[in-house]
Amino acid sequence: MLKIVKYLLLVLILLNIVYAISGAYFYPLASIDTIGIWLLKAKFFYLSHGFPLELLKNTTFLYSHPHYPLLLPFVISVFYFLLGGINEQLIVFIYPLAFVAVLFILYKLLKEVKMGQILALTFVYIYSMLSPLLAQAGRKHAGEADIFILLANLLVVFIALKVFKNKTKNLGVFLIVFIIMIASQIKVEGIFLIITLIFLPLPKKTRLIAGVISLIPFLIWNFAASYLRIPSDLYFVIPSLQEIFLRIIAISHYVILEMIKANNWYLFWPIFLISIYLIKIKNDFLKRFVIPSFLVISALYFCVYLFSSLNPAEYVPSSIDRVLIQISPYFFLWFALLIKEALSKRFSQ
Amino acid sequence: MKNLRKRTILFLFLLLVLIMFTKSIVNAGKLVAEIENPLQKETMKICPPKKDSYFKTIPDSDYMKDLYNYLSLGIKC
Repeated sequence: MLKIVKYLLLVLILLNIVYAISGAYFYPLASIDTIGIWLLKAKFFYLSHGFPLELLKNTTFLYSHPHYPLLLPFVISVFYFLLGGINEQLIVFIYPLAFVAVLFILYKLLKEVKMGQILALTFVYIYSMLSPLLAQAGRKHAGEADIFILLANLLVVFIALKVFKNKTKNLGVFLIVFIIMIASQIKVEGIFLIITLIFLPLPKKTRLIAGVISLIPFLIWNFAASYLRIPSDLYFVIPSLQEIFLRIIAISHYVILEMIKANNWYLFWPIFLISIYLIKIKNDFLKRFVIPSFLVISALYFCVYLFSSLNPAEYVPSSIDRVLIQISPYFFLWFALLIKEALSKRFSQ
Repeated sequence: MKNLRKRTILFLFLLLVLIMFTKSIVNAGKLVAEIENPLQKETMKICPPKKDSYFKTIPDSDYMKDLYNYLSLGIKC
């Protein structure tokens, strides 16, 4: 019986992978951000044969967020150079591959927290069904950058677990610093990963040095963007106290609306929140790393919404699903451990 | 009491899996339809975002018009 369940789960996961590939094939360029930001800048690199400063400074292309870090468009442009031309329809097939990598690492992570094979596969299946992830994997949002930030978060959680188990401490810190540096050059919010260093079981000095090194590419890019006068379409404001209060209500409202959106999350959020309330769990890694990292990173996203020049009523609904999927490795692992606790030993081993 | 809590969570968890399983069957149907009828490729574009205050801050240009025209091709938004 368990064997049948195992194969059924594998088939269902495979179906989602094929579904993502089919999306990348049938709707390769269906997102305004894909063609208006990420692939557009890759074209800038390819057409300029170097750093595309003039194109970045051209206000016609302000929608492309010219001040964003450029690593992803640059990497895509390298593919264009290797292919000998711009081939956007081919590039989006990277996204189902990233999806497979995410699912594989999640499975390894769940096995690492002593989860049985069936239960681990069930959670991988549940995760692969979340619509914002399927969208990033190829169903109409292929070509964006959020899945790579998700991948970075997932890798950091996986490596942090190894560090907590006293395995590969030095290598672990080195890898986490490297991932933070990369993530900060994919999207601005990639730098939020630096928070995870605070909660690693390492000497203060090591964490401080790791933090400073992780910040270097982020600081260099921001200094360069400012020095080169690359225009920015987003900036921070300091609202009045009354405005802050109204913004907090608006942000909370749209976050809750997203969480109860059955199309995207099914019943995930209500079940997760009920589980937190009903199930008591003792897990050192969860309490000392996963939950604190999740809460502080979430607070940083909240502050971005709070102090952004954009109106939260427009900004939050258009981005919150992608933000939640970026930080999903933290809350999904939390969810998985709660459910594992609720199940009998027979199921969890 | 503790068992009741665990059973409640287990029931909700199974419900979640069941709903997702049903959606998987729907997705499988969609997948078969896509493969059998590639014409959908042309008709299933998405609607671009509405021209809200953010878009008003961006200069109206051929580039932005192209983005809108491309994304709204073939559908009423």
